[in-house]
Amino acid sequence: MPDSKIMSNGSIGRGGGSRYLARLRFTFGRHLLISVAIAATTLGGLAALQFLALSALREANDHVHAVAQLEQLSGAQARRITLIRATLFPAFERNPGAETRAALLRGFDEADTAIDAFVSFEHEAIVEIEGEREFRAASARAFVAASRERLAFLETAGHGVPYPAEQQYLAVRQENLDAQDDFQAASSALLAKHDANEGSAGRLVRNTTIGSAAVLLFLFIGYVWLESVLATRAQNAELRGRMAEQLSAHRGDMVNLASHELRNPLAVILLTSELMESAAADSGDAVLAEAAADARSAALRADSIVAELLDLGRIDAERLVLNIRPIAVGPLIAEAVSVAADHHGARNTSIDCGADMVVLADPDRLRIIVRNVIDNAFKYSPAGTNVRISVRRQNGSTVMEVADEGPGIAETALEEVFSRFGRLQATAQVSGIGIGLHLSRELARRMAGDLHARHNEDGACFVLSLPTAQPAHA
Amino acid sequence: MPDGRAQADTALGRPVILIVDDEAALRRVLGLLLAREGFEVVVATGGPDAFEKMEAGLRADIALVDFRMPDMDGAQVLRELRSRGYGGPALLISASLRTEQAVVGMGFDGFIAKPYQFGKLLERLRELIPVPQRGS
Repeated sequence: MPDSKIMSNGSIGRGGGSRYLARLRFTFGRHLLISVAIAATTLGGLAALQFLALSALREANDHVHAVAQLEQLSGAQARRITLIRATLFPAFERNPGAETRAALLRGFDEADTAIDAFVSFEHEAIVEIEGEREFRAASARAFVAASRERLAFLETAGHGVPYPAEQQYLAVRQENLDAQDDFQAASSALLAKHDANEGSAGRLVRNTTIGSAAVLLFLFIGYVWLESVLATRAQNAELRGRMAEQLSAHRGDMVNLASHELRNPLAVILLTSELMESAAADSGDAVLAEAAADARSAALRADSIVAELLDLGRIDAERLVLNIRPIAVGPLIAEAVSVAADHHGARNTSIDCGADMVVLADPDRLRIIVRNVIDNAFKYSPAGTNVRISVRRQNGSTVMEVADEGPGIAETALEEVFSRFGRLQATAQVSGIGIGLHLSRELARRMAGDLHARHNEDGACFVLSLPTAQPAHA
Repeated sequence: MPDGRAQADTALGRPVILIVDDEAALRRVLGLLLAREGFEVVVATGGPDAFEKMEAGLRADIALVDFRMPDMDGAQVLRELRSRGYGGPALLISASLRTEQAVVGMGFDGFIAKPYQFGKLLERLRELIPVPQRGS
């Protein structure tokens, strides 16, 4: 069956720069399009507002023009009446001849014509002062009629004789003056209103123009700022990626260096202890042979710790390379039990594991896991107690359970035992550096399995699950 | 372990093992262990030292080559030994490489990871060359 390799490497590899440029171009293009769309929509809205404002302004100007026309007509009427009142009558009274009489009559006709023109002028803007116009026209007509009566009186009764029509004329004249004042006031109010309208429309145009410019400026600044922020973030991300890559490379170098520098002296110690053991056996020196065997065992334990530390370093550096293949669990359990018994003393060990219990795992890493879990059971259980090891199939996985009769693990600490250097304080007198279970869980998870703990009635139980190797077909 | 005895011992039928390793203590203890097993041992501190001994007439039956050394790595040493006419088997012994797959293509006949127990080395030697009975 072919072996497969898994490289767990989360660092940013080569090609990150070109991907970053492509992403930056995409981001720039996308934001450019969004900005153009926003600017176009804003300009369209502003153009519509401006059109409405100009329409209002044109309407207001039209109204003002109409008012000016009305004022002009009203002024013509007023001038005729003023002519009659201030010039023609005094002239006739001084010289009541045919010429002045004809002038006075022409003045009456012109006043009537002016009044008719004033009254007949129609514009929607004038509706608002319709009442004033009617009043003004009626007053003017009354004045002209009174003036005609006065002329007739003067022609029949002669000068200097009081006559009721004269009184009426004076009263009407006063009314006319008042009406003219009222008209002027109303007209001024209308003009003021127009000015106000024109002013507000002008302000609207100015404000929309300034607003448009401000919005466009804001959009431009916002766009530049956004691009700047995005570019800075992208640069920072790329920088972080490079730093992580370099750090990962340094860690990998350190792991390789430590691997070489620690294992060479261990090889010397191990081989030297074997030489001493062999020489002591040859010379019959049992004490030296035993001491040399202890040294050999210690060197092997040290190598195991080095291997675990190096694997931890590889996991941190995302450089763990796994060599996954089918591997039988039984022999590894037997080996681990033997090593644990050598180290901690024998326990009443029962192993329930069939020869067909084969998993997909990296053999060296599975050995680390099995040794750690079984060593842990021996380490924490008193001499003479039972350590039960069983392996079974469960939902497509192969599950190994290792149960001991030690103090067990509190429910709240079931996860804590898997933290790095996470040995329980209460067991600080037990040897070890507290990475075994942490590393074992990390390795199990990287091999598509898991490792967890539970508290049994009589101790702790560790449960390892790994993918089951499919049997080879003929 | 005088190197000059190598050729004479080969003639007497003792297999000659060439150890190429820059670690002096390792050369010494491994040499002693192998000598106790009946091998004739020639040690070299690195590639250049090994080549000199080859040129001086060394005829090794097997070469145990360390991987990481100052002058050149184990793969380069083996290539150079081959180009100088060495045709025997070779084992790579490494403290940094950990798997057989890592040494594929280097031309070695086997791989042993440091630290190793001497018995394991003897097993690999038996697979590649006739191993003398201890004490012969």
